[in-house]
Amino acid sequence: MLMIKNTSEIQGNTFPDEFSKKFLSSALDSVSDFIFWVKAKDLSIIYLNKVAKNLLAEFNTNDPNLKITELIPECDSSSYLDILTKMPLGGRKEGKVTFIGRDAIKIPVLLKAIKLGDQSDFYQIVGSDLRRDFEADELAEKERFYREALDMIPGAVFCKDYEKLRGEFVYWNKGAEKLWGMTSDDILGKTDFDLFPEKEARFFQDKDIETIRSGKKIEIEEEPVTSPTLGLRIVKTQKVPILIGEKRYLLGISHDISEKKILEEKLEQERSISMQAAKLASLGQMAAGIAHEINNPLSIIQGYNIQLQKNLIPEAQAKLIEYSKKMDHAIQRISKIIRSMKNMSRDSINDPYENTKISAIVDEVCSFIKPKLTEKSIELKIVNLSKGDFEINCRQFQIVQVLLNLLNNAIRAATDLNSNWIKLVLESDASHGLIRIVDPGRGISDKIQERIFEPFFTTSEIGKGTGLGLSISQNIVNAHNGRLFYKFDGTNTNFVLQFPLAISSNTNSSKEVI
Amino acid sequence: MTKIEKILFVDDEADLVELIPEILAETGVACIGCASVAGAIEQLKSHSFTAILSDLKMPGHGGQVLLKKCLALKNRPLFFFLTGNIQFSHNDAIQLGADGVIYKPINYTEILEFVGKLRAS
Repeated sequence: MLMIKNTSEIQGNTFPDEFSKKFLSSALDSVSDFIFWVKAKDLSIIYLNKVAKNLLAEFNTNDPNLKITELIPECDSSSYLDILTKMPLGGRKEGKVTFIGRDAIKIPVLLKAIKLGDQSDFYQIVGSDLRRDFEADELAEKERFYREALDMIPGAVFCKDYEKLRGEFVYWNKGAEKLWGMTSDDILGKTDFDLFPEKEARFFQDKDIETIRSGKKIEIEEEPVTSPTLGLRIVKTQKVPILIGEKRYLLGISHDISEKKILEEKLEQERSISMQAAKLASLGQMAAGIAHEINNPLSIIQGYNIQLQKNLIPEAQAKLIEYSKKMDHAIQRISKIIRSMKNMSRDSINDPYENTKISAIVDEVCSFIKPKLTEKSIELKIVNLSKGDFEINCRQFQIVQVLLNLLNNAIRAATDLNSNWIKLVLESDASHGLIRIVDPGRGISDKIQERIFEPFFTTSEIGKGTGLGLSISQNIVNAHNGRLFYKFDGTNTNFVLQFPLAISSNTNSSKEVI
Repeated sequence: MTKIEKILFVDDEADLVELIPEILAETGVACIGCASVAGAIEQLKSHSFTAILSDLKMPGHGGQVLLKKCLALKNRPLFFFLTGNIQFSHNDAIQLGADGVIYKPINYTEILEFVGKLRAS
């Protein structure tokens, strides 16, 4: 909006026509400097552009008597204006002054003045806001700060320019220099194809383009990269698109996870070895007990066989049938023991989940645990086996393993306390079945409680326990949607297994008929 | 003089508790079978035995508890352990105060020989 107060005062009747006026007005309004036209005679303002108006919003810029001197505190302007007023036509002058702007803000301005016109001389004064330079300085400082901050990051931060789809590197922090062994100067303006093997470069750029197209951050959990200095590394990378108008940048950060990967693999390997060892150790313990346990059925078979031989007379038929049955039973026991031993060394991961009665599981567990109970002279009291029986959907052998582990722990506790009992209690409600393993211990201290389910945590002396039993058991139980937890019942240590009851496949079960 | 030997057989294995007395009875030896140490201690209160043959490890109280009771008796019977544990030696049995050990699986010939020896002594 051109503020011309009196056109004749400017250039007589040579003032631009309406079109030129509009053109001039919009041109002057679009510059970022202040532009004033000031009468040479009294320094009153006859025109000011948009920027100047905004700056001087405190003043009534429509006041024809508003003088430029009012805008400038006398201190540093009087002398400058003094010179200004004495300037010859066409003369130029420049100097720094301070304007008082909106909200009494002091604005440092570099003023350039030209004396124009012939009859009614006026100055065109152009002022550049020097704060813009400060802003630039501040920006530079901020950039320095960010660069330093980015250099502190242990990861490799990089930025590529995708405006022309080439993906030239425009930024590369110290972390990137370290990872790829190339300095920022080495890579600026280059693309992945200049720096990396083709296959890797293709992968990087595909992911970059995917990121830019999606407009979202993507994460690459693991990618192999070949570093000239470090060789093949595994990195985890996050990529973010930065879209500013037509500009397309790809900002990425890569973390070298090679060491972590190796460590994880090692740990995983060790864990599986320990698990295998734990399995073997318990198998070994069981085997010794089982071999021992086979003695009794063998003794029975042999004994009845002796009796059979003695009774080989026709009248003894009833007795023979009885002996034969007993031998059969003893043979079945041996077979069962041997079958269980096979089970113990078998991998149960691919077993199907089946509805199984807890009583059947407890029976199997008993055949395993009996030798140990006998050896340690400990009695296992089973409470509610028939009354509390329930069905769960499970991999039977895994639950047997869990119970064996808990019972073994209970036996150890009883032995340590010179006690001679442990207890297994069955309970169930409408939706869940509970198996409580109770030992004579008076509870577990809070400090130990927190850690009992951690892998490798053990209170046993070195070599006796692997510390994996409870953590493996808990994993198994969780996989069955169940819970395994410690509970103190006021007197004794309890480990509680809680399982959801199996949904009966037979909908017309006898229960519903009743 | 024919003295009737009385033997107390203790094992938590029910079939053995039935079988051993039966086999021994056929050789003229009176044998009472017990499935637990508690039951055996009851028997000791009302009967006297020439010998006790007891399993070493049983649920609840093991054979050693019975041995202790037995050692406290005035006319203590001979005491032999029965075990499948070959780590448990004859010397171990003697050290505990017993008279010997018989290993499982039970060798019936050995049992009969053992009874024969009892008779001879």
